Amino acid sequence: MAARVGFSDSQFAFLIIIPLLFFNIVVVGYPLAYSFYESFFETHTITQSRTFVGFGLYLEALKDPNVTRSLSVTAIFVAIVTLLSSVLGLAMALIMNENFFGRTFLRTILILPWAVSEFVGAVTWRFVLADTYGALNGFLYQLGLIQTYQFWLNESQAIVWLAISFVWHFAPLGAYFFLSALQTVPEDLYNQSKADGAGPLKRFGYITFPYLRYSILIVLVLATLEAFRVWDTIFVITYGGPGKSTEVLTFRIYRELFDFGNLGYACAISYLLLSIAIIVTIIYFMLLTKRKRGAVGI
Amino acid sequence: MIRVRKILVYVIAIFLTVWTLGPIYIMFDLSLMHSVEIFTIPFHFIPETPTPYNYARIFGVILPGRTYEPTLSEGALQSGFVNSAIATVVAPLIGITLSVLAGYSFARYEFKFKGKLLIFLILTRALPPITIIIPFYVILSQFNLLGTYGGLIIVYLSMITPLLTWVLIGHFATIPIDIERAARTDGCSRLQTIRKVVLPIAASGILASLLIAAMMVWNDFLFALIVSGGTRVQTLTPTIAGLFTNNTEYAIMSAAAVLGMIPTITVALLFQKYILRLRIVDPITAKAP
Repeated sequence: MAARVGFSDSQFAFLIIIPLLFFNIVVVGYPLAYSFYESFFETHTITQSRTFVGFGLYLEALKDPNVTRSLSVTAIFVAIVTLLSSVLGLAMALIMNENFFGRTFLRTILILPWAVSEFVGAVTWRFVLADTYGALNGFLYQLGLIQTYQFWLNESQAIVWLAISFVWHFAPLGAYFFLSALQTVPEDLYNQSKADGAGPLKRFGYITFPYLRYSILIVLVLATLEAFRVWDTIFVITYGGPGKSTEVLTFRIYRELFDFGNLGYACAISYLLLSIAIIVTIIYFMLLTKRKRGAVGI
Repeated sequence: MIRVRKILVYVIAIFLTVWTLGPIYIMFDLSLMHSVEIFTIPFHFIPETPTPYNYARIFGVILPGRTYEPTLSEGALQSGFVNSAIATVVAPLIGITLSVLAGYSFARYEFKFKGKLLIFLILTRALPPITIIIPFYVILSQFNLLGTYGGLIIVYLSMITPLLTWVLIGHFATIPIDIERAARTDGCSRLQTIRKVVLPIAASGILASLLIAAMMVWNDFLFALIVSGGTRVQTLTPTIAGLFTNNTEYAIMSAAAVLGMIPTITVALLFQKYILRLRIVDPITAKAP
C-alpha cells in the first residue's frame, strides 16, 4: 500500500514514528510543561489558594532546611550505594569468572535480587531488619553475637541499612556488566604474565583492571542515576524516618504534595531534581562518547 | 597458593549465596508461618508447623478443618493480583506496537530532527519517576482517570516506551539490512517488509524486550500507588504496602510477596542470557547503540 501512495523514505520514517511521538509529547511533554508552569505558583491543594510567585519557590527551596537536608541525605545514600554496589558487583563478577564447583549455581542465583523488584526487596528487608521480630536480630542472637535485639533503623544508621537493601537489589546488575567485561580479557595475557612471575594482585592491577575500567565507569554512573531515583525503598522501610533522617529528595517531593498539599512547591523541587538528573545524564553521555573515540575497549 | 585461592573462592561464594538467597528465604519462611509465629523471639528460621494457609487464603481455597471467612485483605490481594496482571499484559502490548515502529524507523532511516528526537527519548528515560508522577496525578485527576485502568496504562506506557524504543533501535541495528533490500526489490512495500521480513527475524528480541517491559510494570510501586492506590484498580504492590499497618496480616502479606516474586524470577531465569544482552543497548543502563 505504502509503496503505491509513494511516500519517500523519510516521510515513511516519520509516519511510523508519529504514534510514539504523539504519545510521548502528550503524555510526557505536556505534564512536564504543566509542572514547570505550576512551579511558579504557590498553591495549596488543601486551602485551594494560589498566588503567582515567579521563581520564588525555587529560591525558597534552596534555603529550605528540609530540602537542603534531603539533598545531603540523598548524597550520602548515593555515595554508599555507589561504593557498595561496585565493590559487591566486582566481587560477584570475579567469582562468577572463577572455575569452581558450583559456579553455574552461583551464576544462576546471583541475578535473582535484580529480578525481585526494589519494592519486594524493600518489603523483605523490612522484615529482616525489624527490631522486635526481625530475622537479622534473630540470626545474630542465635549465633550469640548480640545479647539483646537491636534497633537497627535508628537515626544514625537507618540510611546505611536502606542503602544495603537497595544494593541487594541493584548490585547483580553491576556484576553482569563487570562479568561481560571480564570475559573479554584474553586468556593468553594471564598465562603470559603468570609465566613472567606476576602475582595475583599484580595480574589484577595490570591486566584485569584496564579491561574493567570502562565497565566500572558505567556501573558508577548507573548506580548514581538509580540511587538518585530511589523511592520504593524509603517508602516501604522507613517512610523517611526516624525523624527526617532518611528523607531523600524524591521522598521530600512526594511528601510536599501528598502529605502537605504544596503542589507548586513540589513541582519546583522536582525541577531541581530534574536538573541534577539531566546533568548526570549529560556527563554520562560525554563519558560514553569519549569511549567511542576509542579510549578503552570493553 | 592455589589452595588458599580455592578456599577464598569458596568463602566468598558461600557469603554471596547467603547474601542473595537469605532475604528471599526469609520471605518464604514467613509465608509458611501462622501470623503469631512471626513475632516469636528468637526468630524461627524454620516454621514450627509449616502451613500453606496463607497461600490458600490468597487463592480463596478453604483448607480442611478451617472455616473460610474472606477478609478485607484477602479480597484486596486477590483483586491486586488481577489488576497487576491486566496492567502487565496490556501496557507492554500497546507499548511494543508503538516502539517497534518507532525503533525500526530510528534504526533504518535518516530524517529531519532524528538526533533531537533521540535526545528527547533519552531524557524521558532519564526522568526521575517522581518528577513526572506529580503532574500526572493532577492531570489524571482532572480527566477523572485516577483509579481507572486507562490511567494506569497511560502512566505505564510513559514509563516503558522510551526504554522499549531504545532497546529495539539497538536490536534492529544488528539485523543485516540486505534481506530487507531484497524484499523491497521483490516488490514488498515498506510496511510489508516490516511485517513479513523484519518482524520474524527480530521476533526473539522483541519478545525479550516485551518481557523486560512486563517486568517493569509488574514490579512498579510508585506509579501504582499514586494512580491506583486505594481504588478499585489497586495493583499488587500498593496492596502489599497497605498491609504493613496491620501486623496480624504479615503472614498473608509475606505469601503475597513471594507470589509477587515468582513471575519476575521465572522470567529472569528463563531469559537470563537474553535479557542481559539486550540491556547492554539501553542508553541509561548501558552504552548507546
